[in-house]
Parts: sequence; C-alpha cells; structure tokens
Amino acid sequence: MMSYPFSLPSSHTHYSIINNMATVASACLPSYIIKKPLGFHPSNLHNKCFSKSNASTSTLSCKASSSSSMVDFDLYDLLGIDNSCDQSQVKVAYRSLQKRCHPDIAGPAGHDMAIILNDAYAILSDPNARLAYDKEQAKSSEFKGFTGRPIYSVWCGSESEQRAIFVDEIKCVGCLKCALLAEKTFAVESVYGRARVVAQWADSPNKIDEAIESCPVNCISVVERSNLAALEFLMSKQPRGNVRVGAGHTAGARVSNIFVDVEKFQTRFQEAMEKANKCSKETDLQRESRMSAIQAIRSISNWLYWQTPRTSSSSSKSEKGMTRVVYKLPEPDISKLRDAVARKKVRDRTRTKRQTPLNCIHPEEYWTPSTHALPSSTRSTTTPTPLEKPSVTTTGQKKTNETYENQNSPIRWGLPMVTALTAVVTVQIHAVESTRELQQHVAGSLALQIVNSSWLQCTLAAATWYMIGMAITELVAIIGNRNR
Amino acid sequence: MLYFKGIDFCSSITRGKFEEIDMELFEECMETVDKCLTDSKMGKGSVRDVVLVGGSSRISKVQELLQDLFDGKDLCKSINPDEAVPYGASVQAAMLSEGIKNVPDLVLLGVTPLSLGILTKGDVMSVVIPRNTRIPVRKTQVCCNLDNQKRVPFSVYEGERARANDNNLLGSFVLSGLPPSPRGHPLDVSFAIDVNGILSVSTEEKTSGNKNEITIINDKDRLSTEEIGRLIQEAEKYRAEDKKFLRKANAMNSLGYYVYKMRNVLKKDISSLCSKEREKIDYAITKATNLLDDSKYQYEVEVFEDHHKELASFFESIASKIG
Repeated sequence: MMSYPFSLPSSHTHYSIINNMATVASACLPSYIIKKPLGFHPSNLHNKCFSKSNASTSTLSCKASSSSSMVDFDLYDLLGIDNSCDQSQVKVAYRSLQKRCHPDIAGPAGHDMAIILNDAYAILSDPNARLAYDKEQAKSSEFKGFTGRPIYSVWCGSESEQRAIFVDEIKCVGCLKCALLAEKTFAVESVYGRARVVAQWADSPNKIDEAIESCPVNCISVVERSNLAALEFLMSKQPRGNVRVGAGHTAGARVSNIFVDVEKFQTRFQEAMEKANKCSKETDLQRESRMSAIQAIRSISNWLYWQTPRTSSSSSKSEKGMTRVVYKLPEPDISKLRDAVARKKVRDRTRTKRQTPLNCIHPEEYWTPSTHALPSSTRSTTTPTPLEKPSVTTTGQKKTNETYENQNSPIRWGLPMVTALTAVVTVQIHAVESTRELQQHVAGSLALQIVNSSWLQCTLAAATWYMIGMAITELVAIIGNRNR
Repeated sequence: MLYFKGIDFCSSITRGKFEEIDMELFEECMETVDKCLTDSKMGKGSVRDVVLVGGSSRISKVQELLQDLFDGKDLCKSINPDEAVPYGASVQAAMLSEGIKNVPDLVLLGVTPLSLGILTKGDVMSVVIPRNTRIPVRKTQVCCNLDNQKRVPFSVYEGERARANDNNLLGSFVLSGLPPSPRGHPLDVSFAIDVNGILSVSTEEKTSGNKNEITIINDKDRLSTEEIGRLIQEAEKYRAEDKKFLRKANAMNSLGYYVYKMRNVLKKDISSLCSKEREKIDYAITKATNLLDDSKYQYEVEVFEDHHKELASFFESIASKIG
C-alpha cells in the first residue's frame, strides 16, 4: 500500500492514525475497517486471508496488545504462571482456571471471566502472539513508576522559566559545596551521600550559578524543564556506589549517555501514551465489568498459587482425582461387558443342550432296523450259511437309506459301529441255534477252526461289517457333496 | 435383512464387496478427522487416545483406516460406543446442576463452528469472530461511515466466504440519528457470544451516544450441522475465487479512498496550479469515479490498480508544488 503524501490538518490526526492501521491490516480487508479487539487478541492473527509476513503480524499484535497490557494487567500474572514457562504449562494453567471460571461451573458470574481467559490463552498459546506480547511487556516495564512529573525536586521558580537544574549523581563526589552555597536548592541524599536538587530555583540565580561553578567534577547542568521528569526518573534507576567508601566513578561518557537516553525515553513514552489513548475508547460499562472479572480471576489464581506450595499432598490428590476420573469411565462398561460374557455363556449352554438330543436320537434310530433284521435271520435258519450273508447285506442297504432320509448328514463313527454290532448279534444268535460242528472245510484247517469257534466268528464279522459301514459312510458323503 | 415395499429382503454379502461399496463414505470420515486436527492446530502425535464412539465405529474397515491415519496407534475400545454419548451428556448435566457430588473435574469448552462478521463496503464479509474461537467471547471492531451518513445499516453474516452474500444472513439492524460527519468517522461494533451460543451484536456512536443492538438465538435462522459442513467445503472449493474477489474489492476501496483524499486536498489550496494541471486532475478524478460507480463488477482488478498508480504518480508531481 502507498502512503498518502499530502499533509492533514491537526484536527484530522486521528484519521491518519486510523488510516495507518488500515494500511497495515488491509491485505485482506477493505481499508475502512480497523480491527480493535476488546482485550488483547487481534482477529487477524487467525484470519486465513491474512497474507502479511510474521513481522507485520508481530507489529499489529504489538499495537493491539500493548494498549491492553499497559492499562490493565499482566497475562502471566492472570494465569498464575511465570513468563518463562513452556506451552504445556500455559495450557495446564488455562484449563485449571477455566474449570472454575466457566459459566457451566461458576454460573452467569463466570461469563466475563471466561471471556478474558479465552483471550489471554489465545495470545499465550500462539507462539507468534506470545513473542509479540513479551516484547511489548519488556517495553512497558521501563515505564513503571513514571508519572510524568519530577521524582525529587519541587518547582519553586516562575512559571515562565523553561530551564531546570539537574545533578548527575553518578559523577557526584559528595563534596557538599553546592549544598552549602545554595542550601535551599541542593541537598545530599542519605543513602549514597550524593548531591541532588530538591527545590528548583529556590535560591537566587547568583547563588545557583556560584554553586554550579564550584562543583569540582562539573556534574551540575542546566536542562530543559520538559526533560526534567524523565531525567530524574532515569537517574533513579542508575546503579551507583557509596561515595564515602570511595567506589569508582563512572566514566565521563555517562553524562552524554543519560542525556541521549532521555530523548529516546521521551519518544517511546509518547508512543506508548498514544496507544493507551486508543484503548480508552471502549465503553465504561465494559471496562467496569472487565476489571471486576479480572479481579475475580486474580483471586482464584492466587488461591491456586497458594495451594501450590503443598505440592506433595495437593499433587497426589489431583493425581488421585485424575485416576478416579480415568477409572470411572470404563467401570460401567466393564461390568456390562461381563454381563454380556455371562449371557454368551448361557447361550452356549443352550446350544449344548440342543445338541445333546441329536446325539441321543441317532443311536435310537440306528437301533431300530436291527428289529427288522431279526425276522429275516430267523427265516434263514434252515438255509445253508452262505445264503445268510446276502440277507444281511440287504439289511445294511436298507439302513443306509433310512439314515440318509432321517439325517441330512451322517455321523461318521455311528454307522460303522451299528453295522458291526448288528453282525455280532446275528452271528451269536446263529451260533446258539446250531450245535453240530463241521468235520471238514474246503478252505482248510484255518477256516475249519474259525467256523467251529464262536468268538472267532463274532470278531471276524464285526471287523468285516465295520469296514463295510465306513465305506458306505464315505460314499454317502461324496454323493452329498456332488449334490451341493 | 431389509424391508422394502412390504417385501422382506435378506441376502449375504462378502466383506470385500461391502468395503468396496462404502469406501467413499469411509474416506469422507477420514477427511473429517484430518480436518478436525487441522482446525485445532494439533498434530497426530499430540493425540493421547483415539476413542471410538458410535455404532459405525464397529466396522473393521473404519477401525483399520483410523489406525493407519494415526500411524498405527492402538484404538481405545474399552468404552462402549453406544453408551459414550449419553454418558457424556449425563456428566454435562451433572456439572450444570447444583448440589450433585462427585462430579468429574472437567469442563466442556465450545467453539464457534463458523466465522461471524458484518457486511462492509463492496459486499465484503468483514470477519469479527473467526471460526473455532472459544466461547464465550466478545470482540469489538471499528468501522467507518460515509460522508454525512445519518443512518448506517448493519447486516450480520456467518460463513467462510469472502463475499458477504455467499454466507448465511443472521440478521440486520440500522443505527440512525448520526450527527453529520465526514467520511471515516468511527463506529464501534461489538460481537458477544455467551456459553449457550447466543449472539449479541451491538453498535454505538460515541459522540451522540446512539446505540442499537440485535440478539440472535441459537435455533433461529442458524445452520444445521450438515449445512455448516457444506459451507466449509464450499469455502475450500471457492478459495481461489474468493481471493480474487477480495483483491478486487480492496483495490476498489483503496482507489475510492484515495480519490476522496485527493478531492479534500484540492479543495483547499490550488492557486499554485496552472489550469492545465487542474484540468488533468479533474479528468483523472472523474475517470476514477466513473470506474467505481458504473459497471462495478465488470472490470478486472488490474484496471483499478493501474489507475491507482496513475493517480498516485500524478499527485506526487503536484504535491511538491502545493508544498
């Protein structure tokens, strides 16, 4: 943006100021809108359209925050933290205060407190804004105690007089000559034994001139009256030693330093005062509510700070509290999860009970065909032994069909056992009925022994029909898979 | 099992097919999570726990995507997703009630979902409270009036677009009875949002003490959650267009302000200027005024900027003569 080269009348000075602010902030905003946030948080810091560099942001933030900090309070003191702490400590302090000031906790009285806390946290949690605020704090601290009026001397000269007497106390050796020659104007302060002006122009000009000339180190000078207050203020901050002990004197350059510093001090103070005037534009009611809220926050912050020395007990309590909070959340869920697990177990038992009848049904149905097999065995008593086997085979086939119709899927170990047991029973019945023994057998002596021995017959029949049952089961399974 | 037009529909579907069909929705969820982190200026590393809330968090693909988004961090599944929301609502109710003991030591900090601002010259949305500002909040902004303006209308908008009319209008009011004053007279506009989300907009003219105020409650003319999301997405989509609009509006406003200043200066002392220079100045001012008044939105931003530079260089040569 270009600066306007024409000069404005004095009555329009504030327009020029507004215009400058508009110029700074006008990268993304029309030039007629000036941001003046209540408190200390310029909205531009978070405006996505703000395309200025960090330096510009810092400048704008300096302007905004300095007026607040000078007039109101220290953000670090407000949160109860040190200005050198890190971001996590800022967050902890903000949250602990918000837990007591938030309207949800403190009611309507907490409204203003929460607003100020949010503004303070918005500045201190942003590294750029915090850096700008710290710089402004450093600037403001040099003005603490400065009232714009002289600290030590009272004015006894005429109102039209524009000169003042000033003693560079660093150079003073405490010879007491000026105090003796112009005893109303000069005095010796008791702490360090150096001379100081206590009443401007209280003696006659001749006596004052004589006192100035009598100074062996030329530390008394005549200055502008408008600079007197600043000079005395700056002198009061200068480090010095006790002249009685004979401490070293500052070099002669000190004189030029303090007189050069006073010009810079005046310039900076004028700028700060201008910024402070801007802040006074806000409504009186708003200021009153804000000041009362600030006092409330400070009292709470002091209370928290006072609690801090009991670090061990309070920290352990807070840890327990946090632990309880952590435990409280999952507790109900755990018990309900346990209930769900218990319910699942009940369901599993129900399923087990349902499955048991299936197991019971199978043996019954498998045993039913054996009653049918008995009549056919009885009929075949009169026939020779080779004819009995085909009838047993037919019975097995019938069993297979019944099994497939009754059950969708056969139980693999069930069928072979059934067939084997059936064969054993059949052989036993046949063995009981037939009493005569064969004398000869075509197969040989081994076959003859098997036929004549009843237990060998049972074992052989069981093994044979078990194998047959297994084969039938596998065949049925294969057919079932193909059908699917 | 689905029930559609009286017909019960039941079918099986594979996990892969289901994930393929819903992948767009899943990715939209991940974008929402990522945007939430961006808005709060938090990195993924600063998230301590990822808590699953809601029935959809049981979908294994959703959990897998979330875990990938947080670089393999274990998800917190100890909280029942169906009960987390009513549990939180109960805690909040306990905090708001008096006389209840054993309330957890926590507080719910709300933020504004959209930016709030007023309509300014050139249909520009001047943001007073930006998005995601913690509530309660109160901010004051200074705006200027025009020459001898006796009444100033204020329109309150919410949204993320640079052009005010593209946002949602919440309400408007007029500050009247202003004393005659030159252009640039300051007016204070205060925005205040309380913890219940109620917005109060007030304005005051300091010299005469004239005030006006409007209160906008939460359920009236406000946007729903879906509309808020849509507005934010639209702001992302039209970001380039909004930037262009802002640049043009700023150029127009700065040119108009410059012309206004030149006119005021020339009213005072022009005796040192010859008639030729006077005619040149009048012609340049008239041209600029025509640019601003007629066919406002047809010219490109470069036209206004070029004319501003022309006026500035022209005036610099004259300023030395005026002294």
